[in-house]
Amino acid sequence: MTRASSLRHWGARLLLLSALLCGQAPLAAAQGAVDFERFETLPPGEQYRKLSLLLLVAGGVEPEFVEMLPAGEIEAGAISLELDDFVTPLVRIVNQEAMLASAARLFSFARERQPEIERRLTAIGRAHPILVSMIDIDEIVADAIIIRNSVADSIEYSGRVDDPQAPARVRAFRERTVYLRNMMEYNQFQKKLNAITEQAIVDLGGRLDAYQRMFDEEIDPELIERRVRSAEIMSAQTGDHFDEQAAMRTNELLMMLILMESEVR
Amino acid sequence: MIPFDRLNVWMKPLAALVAAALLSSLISSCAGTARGSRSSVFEHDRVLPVADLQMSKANALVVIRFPAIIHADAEEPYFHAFSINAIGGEVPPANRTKKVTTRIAQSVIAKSNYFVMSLYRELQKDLPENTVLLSPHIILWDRERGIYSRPILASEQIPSVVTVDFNVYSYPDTSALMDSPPVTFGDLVTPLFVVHSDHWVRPSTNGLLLSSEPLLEAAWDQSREQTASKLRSRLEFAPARDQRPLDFIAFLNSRANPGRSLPLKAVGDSGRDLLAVESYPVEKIQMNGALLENLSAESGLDPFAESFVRGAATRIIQTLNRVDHDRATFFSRQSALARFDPGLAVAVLAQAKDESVRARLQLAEALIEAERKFLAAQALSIYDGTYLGDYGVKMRQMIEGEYRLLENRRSMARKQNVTAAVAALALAGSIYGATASGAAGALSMQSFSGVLMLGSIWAMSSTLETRAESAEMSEHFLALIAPALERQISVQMEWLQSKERITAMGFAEFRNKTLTLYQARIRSMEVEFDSNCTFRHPAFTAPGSWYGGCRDGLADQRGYGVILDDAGNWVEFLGSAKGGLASGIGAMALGKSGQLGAAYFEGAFRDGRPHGIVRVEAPGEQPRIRAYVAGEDSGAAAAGQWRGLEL
Repeated sequence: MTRASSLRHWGARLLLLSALLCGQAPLAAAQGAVDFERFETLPPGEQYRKLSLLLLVAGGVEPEFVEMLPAGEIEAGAISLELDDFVTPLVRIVNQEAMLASAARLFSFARERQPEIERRLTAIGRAHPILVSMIDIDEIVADAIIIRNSVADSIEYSGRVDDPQAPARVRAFRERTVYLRNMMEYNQFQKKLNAITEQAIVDLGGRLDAYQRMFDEEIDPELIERRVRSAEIMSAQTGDHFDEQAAMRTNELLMMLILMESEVR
Repeated sequence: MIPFDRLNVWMKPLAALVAAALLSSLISSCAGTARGSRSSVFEHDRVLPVADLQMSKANALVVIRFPAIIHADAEEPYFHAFSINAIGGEVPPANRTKKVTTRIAQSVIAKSNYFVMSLYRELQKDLPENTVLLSPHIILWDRERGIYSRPILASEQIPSVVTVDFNVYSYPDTSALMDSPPVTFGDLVTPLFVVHSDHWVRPSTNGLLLSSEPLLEAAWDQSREQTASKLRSRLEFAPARDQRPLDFIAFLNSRANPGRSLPLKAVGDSGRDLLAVESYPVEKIQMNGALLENLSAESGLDPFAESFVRGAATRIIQTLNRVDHDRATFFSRQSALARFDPGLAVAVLAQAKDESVRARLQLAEALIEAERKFLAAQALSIYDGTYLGDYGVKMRQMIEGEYRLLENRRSMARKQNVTAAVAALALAGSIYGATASGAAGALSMQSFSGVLMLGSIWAMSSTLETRAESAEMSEHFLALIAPALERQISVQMEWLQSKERITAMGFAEFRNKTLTLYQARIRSMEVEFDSNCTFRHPAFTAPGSWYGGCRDGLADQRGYGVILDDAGNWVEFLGSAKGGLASGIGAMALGKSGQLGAAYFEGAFRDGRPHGIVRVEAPGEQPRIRAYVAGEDSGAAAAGQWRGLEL
């Protein structure tokens, strides 16, 4: 967790604590928990992080699941949580109703505005590639997992969901969260594995190269060529030898023929 | 009787024809002895892009196996087996123990090391990165098994869609070179080639897809034994231990088992859907001489690729495009997983769809993929060292030298044959003349006894000499080249053995690290399988083993079942079961003792028998979609109605 995000968490904790202690919520937060205008005030890296987090938190959520949560405007006096508030421990002790209502708003916003969120993410990625490349996706996924677990826990603890389908829907939501966790763990594993593999290939390549050099130095590189040339010359001589032999025999035969012809005549 | 004058008139064109025929037949019979085919049967295969649709990224597409080195203890038995089991003829016992025969046996290994690299490079160029692996083998011997081979790298532990066995071949007896046996010398190359896969990809041929004709029997037996060994291992819940030796070495080690009518089809047969092994004839390929003239100076030239490898590589790619990759690698993936995570291997056989299995499988496959990358880097390093390195340079020099020698011989043979043909024609004329008229005959004799008679005798004696000369010259050349060849082989062996040691050390270290990482990261699986669960089949009294869901000790839900009885009959099933019997969608392979190949049914089952729309595969036949009722074929069905097994 970065220092900036811990500071943010501390700020959110203080805010929540004050709300709980005083029984009053900041109205501004209640009315504007999620909107693009608020994102635009943030630096590009932070915008990218929050928009990604929003998509991951709402990923795979069915409309029926959202309908199960308390809908409509958040009552005056109730607190509304921002995305990052969900990852604080204090979120567990705030009013379950307020938390689920905030989650419903987050899910609805993410579902309805998904194309626009994706467009913005792409635009930020293009405009600030170096910045985006430095963002730790695993950290965002870890936050998304915490938020999703908080929401699932709250539904179960709240006891206000009467829908008989609720347990199955919560289970499906949790399964998607486990899938997200597994994907994150896989990415981490893959990174480590790639590093080991690359290193092993480089190490072994180096050892083999060193051996290859020793091997090249050890043998006489012209040996085979000399052998091949000698073999060719000797083969040619062998051929000539056969030519001579054949010529000699021909002469013998010719001599015999001449003698035979002489006899005939 | 035909008057002489008339005879003379129509005999002239006939004489010309006789002369032409004599000339061509003499040229083809003598000069052809050292010639090969300029085009391979694979040449006309159309180049196709590779469609890699497999689900798993752990798999390799092709593993190429070849004889790389030989253990000192195996040399004598290998030489002996090489001379006894000759391809293209029978070597007389007196010639089997000649030194030159051992040289040829050695050259087969040395040249296979070189020529296989062409195939590797061509496939690597066309297939996705790191999906072509090399598996060099060491030839070994022990009293119990005779000669056999084992891989020196771990490439064959990686699941692969197809496996290719490749080597070149030369007939052991140089005295028979004029009889046109298969050789690999100079511009002539005789490749031997086998393509096989897991038996599940085609149970009707035990997974054997293509084989050089002489190796067919050995390759078939090896595929059958490999299948039986895997079934036994799975029946006993034991890890698979079978390691298939090279088919060429198995061929040398065992006399062919003739008399069996294996399901075969010709390479490039239009009926390629036929479930039979493609039989590749022995081809003595003649490479383009123009490319060989400067072979040692220009390493970028590859005459073998031009004449054979490109076509063969295209043929392999066509095979890759035709076979179902997931079906081809399902069991080899399971075997690969069993090496480091037996629990997960069982879950894969059980086709468990739980997220905990999926997540763990994803990590395990990443591990195999990493090993594949490592071994692909090793294959590339072998290629660099063998083909581009010192060895390749020497081999090119040697091949170029051999080529020059052959060309000299051919040139000599051409000259002799022209003279011989003219002389033969002259003789024919003189005989004719002698028959028609004594006077004319005497005149003819007088005229021919000059230059032409001299030529004919010279040509005949020279041709006779050439036969001996050819054999002796080849023998001479091999004897002269032998120290270099021997040195080259020993250096290559040293290089490969050291490479094996270094690579094995590196691979062991690497595997140790990756396994530690894997064990630290995996989570427990939320599924359990009863290892004491029974699978049954109505035709078998013996119970089988079941990997998968279980109820009351009997196979239930998805899983894998296998039965193997004492007579050698077997059944294998992958899919849904109920009450211990196949029931629902699945695939079943049935092998009967004494029968060639297994029958395969995929589709709907009930009470252990096909029931519904089923795809049927049988040896030597085309796959068919049939309707079945309680195991009885009730007629053809539409392909659209068929529902196959999803792995």
